[in-house]
Amino acid sequence: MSNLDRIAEELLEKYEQGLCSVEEKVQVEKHLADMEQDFVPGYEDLKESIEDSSLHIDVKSLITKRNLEMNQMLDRFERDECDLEGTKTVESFLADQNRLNIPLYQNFILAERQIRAPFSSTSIIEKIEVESLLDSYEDGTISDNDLTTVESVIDSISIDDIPSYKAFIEQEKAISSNINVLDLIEPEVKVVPLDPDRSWRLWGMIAASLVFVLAAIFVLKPDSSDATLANQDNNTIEIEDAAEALEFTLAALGLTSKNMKKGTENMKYLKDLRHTQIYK
Amino acid sequence: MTNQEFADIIDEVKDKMYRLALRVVRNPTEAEDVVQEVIIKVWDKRVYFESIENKAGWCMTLTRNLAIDKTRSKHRRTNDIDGYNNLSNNAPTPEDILETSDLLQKVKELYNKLPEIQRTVLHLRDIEEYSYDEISEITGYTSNQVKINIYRGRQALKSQLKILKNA
Repeated sequence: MSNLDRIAEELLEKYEQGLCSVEEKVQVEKHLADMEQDFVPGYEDLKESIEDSSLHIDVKSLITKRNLEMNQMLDRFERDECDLEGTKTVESFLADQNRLNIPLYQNFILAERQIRAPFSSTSIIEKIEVESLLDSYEDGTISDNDLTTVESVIDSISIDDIPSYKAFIEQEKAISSNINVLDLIEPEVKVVPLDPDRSWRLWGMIAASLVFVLAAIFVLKPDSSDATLANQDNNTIEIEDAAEALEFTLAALGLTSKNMKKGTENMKYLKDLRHTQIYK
Repeated sequence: MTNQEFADIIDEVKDKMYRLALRVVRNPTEAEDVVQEVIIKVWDKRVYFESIENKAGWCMTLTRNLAIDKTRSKHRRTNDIDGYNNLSNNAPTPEDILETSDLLQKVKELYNKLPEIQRTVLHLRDIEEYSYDEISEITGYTSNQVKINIYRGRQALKSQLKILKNA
């Protein structure tokens, strides 16, 4: 114990025993009253403030002694180890302390109570629902009804609203935009002109085909000296008599029939083909 | 529970949740994240949530626990004044608040320097006006621990404020 502490202890003992002079008593009681307001058991910062101030050593010592006792009681109270009397003492002490007014602190409390959450609960619920839909969409477990909703959501939603789905939304939007681009490109493919080499080749093939067809017609053209139906057209006569016309018609039909028979005569051997080795 | 019923319950408590989260994490953005995460958790467990008697208290407990988890996972700066930007126009005495804005800021700094337990119980008691029992339920501390920590927090603030005022 230092000299100062020893002097303070003596002063406190004198005060407790009622042996202080009037001047000493006033001094001690004044500081006790002051410190009752600022009593903070066990706090180093307060001790520092007391040491820095011009408080007298006797008061410091007294407070230290009382602080120690009170602090021990508070610790016991905190651990539920106080007896009934101790609990009452602490409860009363705490109640007194809680009544002390701290002006700046009151303003602080009022200001704090005005702070509001910068979002609405509805927006969060909507966000939760959207995320739930996106999850089921990603998993492939989405219903048909919800699928339409998700597609419109993906088109309309801002990535900032659901940052955790940023990659997914961007991917879906990219796929969607690519599909649209393909739709636009497809008709253009149809009107793209052939390149010059291919064009010449095509026209060459067309020309060759025409030449071949014309040549075939020319070669296969029937001889004009033959008696054909075409020549017979030149010999067409008009018969006014009905009986004579009938006679001519029957003769023509007979001729046709005869020729048909002549034409099919060679075909009767076709049936013998099935007996040949070709089909066996 | 319909969406509207759920939204009504959350609307009642979301400001308190935000303030508590702000008190613990000391950062408005982080506090907002905490509250949104809590609401999502509650939504996921809404069948269970329906059966809870003290729904607001349960939300506050979740908020505190999540905020503490966030704080533990990442150290935060203590000096953050953004929260005061959300002061509404109907504050009781705006002029007083303006006049004392510097001092209030210092009070906030002192408040934020308190240990987490003192900060939380003081906040729940003085700002949100919960009873000791409610605070005990939210924080999981005994009633005596709550009382002592409230007392110690106030005393620490008071002594610091006195020093501040004298300076």
